[in-house]
Amino acid sequence: MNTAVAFIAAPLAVAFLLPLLGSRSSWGSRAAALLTLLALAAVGLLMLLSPAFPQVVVIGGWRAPFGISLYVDALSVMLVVLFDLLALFALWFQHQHGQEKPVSFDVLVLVLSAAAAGAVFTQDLFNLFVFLEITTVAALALSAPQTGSPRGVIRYWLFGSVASASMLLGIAILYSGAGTLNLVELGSRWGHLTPPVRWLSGVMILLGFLVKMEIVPFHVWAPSTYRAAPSSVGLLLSGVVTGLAAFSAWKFFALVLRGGASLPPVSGVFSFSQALFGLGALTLILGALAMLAEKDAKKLLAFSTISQMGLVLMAIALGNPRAVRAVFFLLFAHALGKGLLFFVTGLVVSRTHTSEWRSWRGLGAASPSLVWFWFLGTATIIGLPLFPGFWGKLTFIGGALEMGLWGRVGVTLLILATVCESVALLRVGHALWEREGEPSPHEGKLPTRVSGRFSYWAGALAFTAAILWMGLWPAVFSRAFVTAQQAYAGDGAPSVVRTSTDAFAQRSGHHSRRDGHHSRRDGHHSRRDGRISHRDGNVPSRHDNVSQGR
Amino acid sequence: MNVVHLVAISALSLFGIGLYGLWSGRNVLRWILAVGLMETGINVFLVLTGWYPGARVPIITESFSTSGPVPFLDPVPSALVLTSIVIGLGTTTLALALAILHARSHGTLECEADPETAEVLE
Repeated sequence: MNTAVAFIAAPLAVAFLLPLLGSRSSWGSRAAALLTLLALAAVGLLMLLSPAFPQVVVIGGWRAPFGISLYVDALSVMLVVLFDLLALFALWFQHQHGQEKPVSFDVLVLVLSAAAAGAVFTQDLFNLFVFLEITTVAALALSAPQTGSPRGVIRYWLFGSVASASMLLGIAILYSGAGTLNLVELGSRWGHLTPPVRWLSGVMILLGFLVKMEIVPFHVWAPSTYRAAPSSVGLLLSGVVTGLAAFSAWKFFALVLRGGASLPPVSGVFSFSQALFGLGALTLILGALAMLAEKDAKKLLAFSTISQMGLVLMAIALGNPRAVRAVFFLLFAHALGKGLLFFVTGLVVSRTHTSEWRSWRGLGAASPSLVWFWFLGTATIIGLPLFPGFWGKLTFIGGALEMGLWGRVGVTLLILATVCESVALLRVGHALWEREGEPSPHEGKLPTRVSGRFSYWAGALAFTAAILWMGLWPAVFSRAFVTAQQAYAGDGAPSVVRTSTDAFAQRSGHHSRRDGHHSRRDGHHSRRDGRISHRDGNVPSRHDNVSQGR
Repeated sequence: MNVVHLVAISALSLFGIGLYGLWSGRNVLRWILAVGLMETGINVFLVLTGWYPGARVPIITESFSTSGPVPFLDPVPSALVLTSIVIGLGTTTLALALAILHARSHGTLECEADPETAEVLE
């Protein structure tokens, strides 16, 4: 048992106990949900202060590749803390400013955070699939409207189901060829698989990730879902669900497909990297252009998410060390900035009952701080210097420029897309700010101040603190990102999680001669060397593990 | 044409029938059934990946203890199928709930493409 397991187990346990308190959201159920998430975030921060990384947790004592192992390092704990804080914030916002929701809202947010933690930690492909499914189901249920047309959500369900069916079929094909589900083992056996198995499984599994990441042309479900969902759910969809899909896609790409070590020559195994890079570039630019034409603020934010995920996919496809660090930076920056933007949107919509941003005119006069927070979120997303997005985009450009022509095209598109994105987001900010011209349509109908309550300042200032921290002092983040990137890349060609064997050896005092010899040879057998490495070239074949049953 | 081929073909045809069902109509119930067929096809395929000729069910009984190494079925796919069936149950239930919402708000199960009409609520 390990504290990392608590991130999965505790929210699930609380989630299933909450309905016992009654089907209506009560003071007690809200406090229980909020305190669970707060406690988990605190535990995560404490774990970050202690240097005990990386840890490997072997579930049920079954060593990989037979059992499931969790890989806990600084990056994964930071991601889980981020997701827990976003979930906490979404709950807090919904309780303070949103419409009354039944207790199922709290339950679903807790389930979402448990599944997100599981998907971040796990090193098992099927386990990853299951946790992603749970997040999708929770997100679907969260975004389903209580009254009114569920057509947007039905579209989400349809895309999600086809995506997971494709992913599951891909996993089945991959398992039939490789006989393991451990991501690192899969990576080491990938080269021995026959080309049809590689193509089919690779394309089908990646297709599943792309739909969940809202990559063009699989993004169709996103804008209508965001529009119909409350802003607190929009925050979860864009920060947690989509960010998690991107992180999982990267994990699959880095561990199983072993990244595109370089782009221009067809690298790694296929030219998957080029196809993904192209899709990412298309998504980046189309998402940004769609933002310019969008009249609805929530859909505008959805297209902004789509565009950002396109950039993340480009960085994943580049796969060189800098690009990988850019993936992490972008995920954090996007979650923080988009969280703040959804926060402002949610507040405004809860007062004006419309998400058409042109009719928000003049609200800034009553509460200027709202406009400032909108601009802060915008600066974070578009990457004004000394804001989190800046470090993400700077690292991305550094990585892309190492890649010749492809990289240069990518950087050009990034600059174009950033211009479009800035214009679109600043226009909304300007509409909020506008004091002159025709009188605001809300004159006299609105409460004078949208802001001003304790809960408002608590939430907004928490986001501001996180954004300023990451923007002004990114060293803590980049240190964790570099460590994780190196651990996942390994240095030899087949780099596999030693997780499994080492943890098993420590648990049972057993140390096989083969493993010992291997460690001595490459001289890094310390469990804390931060390297996910190969346990042995001589993996048991399927038929060996068949006889294990006896 | 042995058993393996037969099962593989039927699994993939189930998947294909499901895909066709998704493409060929706009009824929510039809979509739910189609997704169910696709999932069933995949589950059958998953079971198949653990099977090979002459293998026995991986349950340890007394007859195994004496007779030396015995080929077992790979038990992992069976575990995966169980999980996948449970997930399928969950998503199908959720989809049925959505279908009920759809019928309540539109009076029909034909899902036309106009999600723009959704109200904006916080």
